[in-house]
Amino acid sequence: MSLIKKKKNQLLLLVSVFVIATCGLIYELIAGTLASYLLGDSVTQFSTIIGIYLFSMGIGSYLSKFIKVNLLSWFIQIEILVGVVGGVSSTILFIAFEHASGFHVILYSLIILTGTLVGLEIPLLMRILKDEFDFSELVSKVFTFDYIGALFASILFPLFMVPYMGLLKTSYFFGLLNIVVAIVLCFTFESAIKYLRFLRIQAFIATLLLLIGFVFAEQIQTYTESMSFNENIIFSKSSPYQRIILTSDKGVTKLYLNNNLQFSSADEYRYHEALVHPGLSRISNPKNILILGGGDGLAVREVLKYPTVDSITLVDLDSSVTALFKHSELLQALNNHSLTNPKLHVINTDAFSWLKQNHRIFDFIIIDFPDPSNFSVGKLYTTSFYKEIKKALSPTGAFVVQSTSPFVARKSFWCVNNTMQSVGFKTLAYHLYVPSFGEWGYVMGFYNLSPTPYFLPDKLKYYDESRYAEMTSFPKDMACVPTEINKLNNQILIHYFEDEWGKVQ
Amino acid sequence: MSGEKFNSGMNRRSFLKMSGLLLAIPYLNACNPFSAKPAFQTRITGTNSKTGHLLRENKFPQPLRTEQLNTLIVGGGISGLSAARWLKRNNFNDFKLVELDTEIGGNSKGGKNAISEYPFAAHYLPIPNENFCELIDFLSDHKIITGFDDAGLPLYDEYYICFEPQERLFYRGIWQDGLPPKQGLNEEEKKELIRFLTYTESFKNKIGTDGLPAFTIPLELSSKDEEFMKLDSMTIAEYLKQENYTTVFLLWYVNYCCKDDFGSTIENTSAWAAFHYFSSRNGKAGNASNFDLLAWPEGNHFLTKKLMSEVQSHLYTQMLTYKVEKENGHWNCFVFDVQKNESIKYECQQVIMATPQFVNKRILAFDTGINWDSFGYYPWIVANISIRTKKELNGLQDLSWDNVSYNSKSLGYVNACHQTFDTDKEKTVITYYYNFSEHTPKEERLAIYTNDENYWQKFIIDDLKAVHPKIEELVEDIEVNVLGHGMISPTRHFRSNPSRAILEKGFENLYFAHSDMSGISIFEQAFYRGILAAKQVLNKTDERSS
Repeated sequence: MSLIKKKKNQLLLLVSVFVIATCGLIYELIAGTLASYLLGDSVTQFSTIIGIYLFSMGIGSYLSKFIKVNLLSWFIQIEILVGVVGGVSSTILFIAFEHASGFHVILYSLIILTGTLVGLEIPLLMRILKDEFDFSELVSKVFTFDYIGALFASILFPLFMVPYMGLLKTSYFFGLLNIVVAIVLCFTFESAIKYLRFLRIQAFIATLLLLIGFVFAEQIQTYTESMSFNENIIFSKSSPYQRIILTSDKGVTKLYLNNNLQFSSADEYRYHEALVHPGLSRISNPKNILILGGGDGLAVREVLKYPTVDSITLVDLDSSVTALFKHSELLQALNNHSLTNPKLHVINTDAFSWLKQNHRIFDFIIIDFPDPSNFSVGKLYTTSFYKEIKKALSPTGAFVVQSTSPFVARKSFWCVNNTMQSVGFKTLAYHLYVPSFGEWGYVMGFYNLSPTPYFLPDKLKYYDESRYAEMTSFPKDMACVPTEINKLNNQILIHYFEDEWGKVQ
Repeated sequence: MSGEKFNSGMNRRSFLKMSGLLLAIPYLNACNPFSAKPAFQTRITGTNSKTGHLLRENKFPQPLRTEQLNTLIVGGGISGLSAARWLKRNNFNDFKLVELDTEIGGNSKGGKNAISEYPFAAHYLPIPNENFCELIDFLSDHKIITGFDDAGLPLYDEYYICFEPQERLFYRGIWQDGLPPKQGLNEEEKKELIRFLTYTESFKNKIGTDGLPAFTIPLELSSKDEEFMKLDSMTIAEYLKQENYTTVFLLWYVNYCCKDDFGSTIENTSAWAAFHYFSSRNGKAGNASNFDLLAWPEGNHFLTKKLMSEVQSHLYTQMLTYKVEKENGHWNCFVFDVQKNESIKYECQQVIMATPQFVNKRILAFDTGINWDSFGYYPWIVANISIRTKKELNGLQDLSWDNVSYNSKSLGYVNACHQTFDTDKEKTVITYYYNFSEHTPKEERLAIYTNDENYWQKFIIDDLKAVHPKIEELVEDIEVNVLGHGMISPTRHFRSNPSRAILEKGFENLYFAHSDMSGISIFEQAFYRGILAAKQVLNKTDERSS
């Protein structure tokens, strides 16, 4: 091992400490990020992953004592393995999330495997270098490089890797760095390495594999298409109520809450024009408007097109959403600065509690809640809730409820309609095609509704009066079906919803 | 926000199923030796047993003053309040109600902290049978019933009918919907459960040869037909064995119900009582079914407050009645005023004893002929636990109103904030119930009175850990209510217990109202017994004046 005595080569080994430390931390961060994206609850995910990863490194360190000879060859072998496992891990996890039922098993197996391999690296390297430095010098040097690598990785990852490369490319890139270390060592210490040919062939194959992955990362991403937002995330935040993710791709902005697409800027105008105009245009002189949900300000944007409106009250649970859409320039462009309009009053609280204590009367109420996929949202679609709406609605007013897809979830849709009728409203159901969502439906509730509009803003992109007849007629496959009435003590709607949406997934 | 228009990936159920595989992870966390020590307080509260135990020492000062009073009601639980309310409604005003505790309500007391109100014991009222007119009237007076539909069926305030999800069971490692669970039972278990429930359900419309319903509430109005009464001569365990019910789940389920409602195991519960539990609840409503129930954050304390609002000026707390004796055609009631540390002698025309029999045994200073030992009460603890983040209690099924664990000996816990809409509130209070009924009531009582706060904290946390491994991190505060005599247990032959006949009849101008004389401890019985005792007083008064 006389080669190691060369100063230059010692430095090379220490630089490789830096590289592998960076790679090691990156793999850990990738696993943590992916788990938080896919499973939510980032605190738990990061804690468990860091814990298991560090523990596995301990296993690696322990196992290192069983490697007695050919330390350099082993070290190179491990580098290749780390590179391959770390490089493909995010791809495996993306694919596994969609297709395998044992996602957690795969996730934690990969973490344990990567952790164990990374844990082997430093002890082996220290033993390789042990005769070249005195012990205190050795420990000082190796760990200095190790920790600098960790700092480098932790800064690089959120600031450059995730925004510019995405998770898949990042892991392939760092996988390649591990292999580069292996290859450089193969050449530098050529004469000191046993099984050199075998290792070189391995390194070559691994490089090829990771390069292919790196180049085709986009296609792999498309293959795991439902997770496509991961690629161009421009904002992500976990509020106390939900995970907010905003993506931007080729000029199209999309908002996801808990992995569910809320709108795509490419066609949200269809959704929001249909939500607001068929009803609001039929109210004479609308002044006071209430919007429940709709923290993105897009419905507000449409309401502001009515000059008679002088007050809009928006009640949305999540202040993170309203703050985001109020302050982000990109999103202000989308909602036309509606959330900073002086006519608007934003209240961040639970809509049901707010409505129960409300005494104001509104001319038009827009209800734009998430779909009824759980008990707490399901409450907002019950008879009790519509009775509270009754108290807040002017006798000449109307309200509209976004009511999921009448095509995919026919029973759910008509259940909303029938529930509104059961508390004494007349209803008018309508639907349209929104490319991002498919057929989408709304139900309007009122005592009397003008057959013709009083005022309809011009320059709408989709809706005009000629659409009205088409939207209110339902083809046979979406026509009304009898359903039970959704009440607080049965929450039948969330059962319908789960059954119907469960089938299409 | 607009709707959840596009569900990427997976639906809730499959996602949750998958997460089930991760169950082992929290356990790892729980084992973390670096996890912080619990940073919360545990306190013991509840009925002032110290005041109650003065009765045993029986060292009270001589009364310094005497007061004349037409009627004294002893005991401020639901039966006493109901008796007071009935007197008042019949324009009878010359009465006082004395209660030893600082608060009125008995088992229907409640507490309150920054998060929510919560009950000290009783938590709900099933949809009442619609022919229980007195109860229907009471609920209407207080707007719990808001009106009646075209068929004449009561319409309940929808915010008081227990919301979905009502019940869940932690069974075979996951939270399952319903109790009994809608899924997760094997064919054998399902078959037997259906057999049992269909059979008990069939009694809901059965009428005995005496023209009375087989099982109803109030229990006293049930048929005395031998066909049904013979069930009282065996325990429900014996009945189940006789009828070849063998699956572990069914036995667990019936045992759970007996413990939950009567505080006693199937080995110590009359089969008649168990049938009464399954077959008497047949309430109809315009907007609820007979499986529904009425619930409030503070539990039945809500009903206590409604009763109190009608008789407020007659209520006196911290007044311990220690002796009741007859003298020259009237009753002397000796009452110790805890605050003033002095005794008063009330000379009363009539007395209503709305106190349980283990108390009457010590204060009735004459030969009653009652076998006091035939009334058994197992001890309970009820703990109100403040939870920092309620969503951490979710699982495959969301946090429900009632949450029961199959493998725990506890009766589970109730989410006090269930009937609220504050999705923006992260915190909640859960009410945890544990009934001690494996040994005799006396043995169980001796055992629990020696335990301190630290014991109960560990006891409760260890139990909850099995279903919520991270529970220690979630708890902010625990308030333990130790109930030495939790509730009356309907043992075999309780229906024909001759002591009950004595209590029902009462003595000259002294009547009994407590629900334990019916044999089961539920709001409806206490409410009913209170009215009957008040009627006895009113009849006597009418007789005298005519």
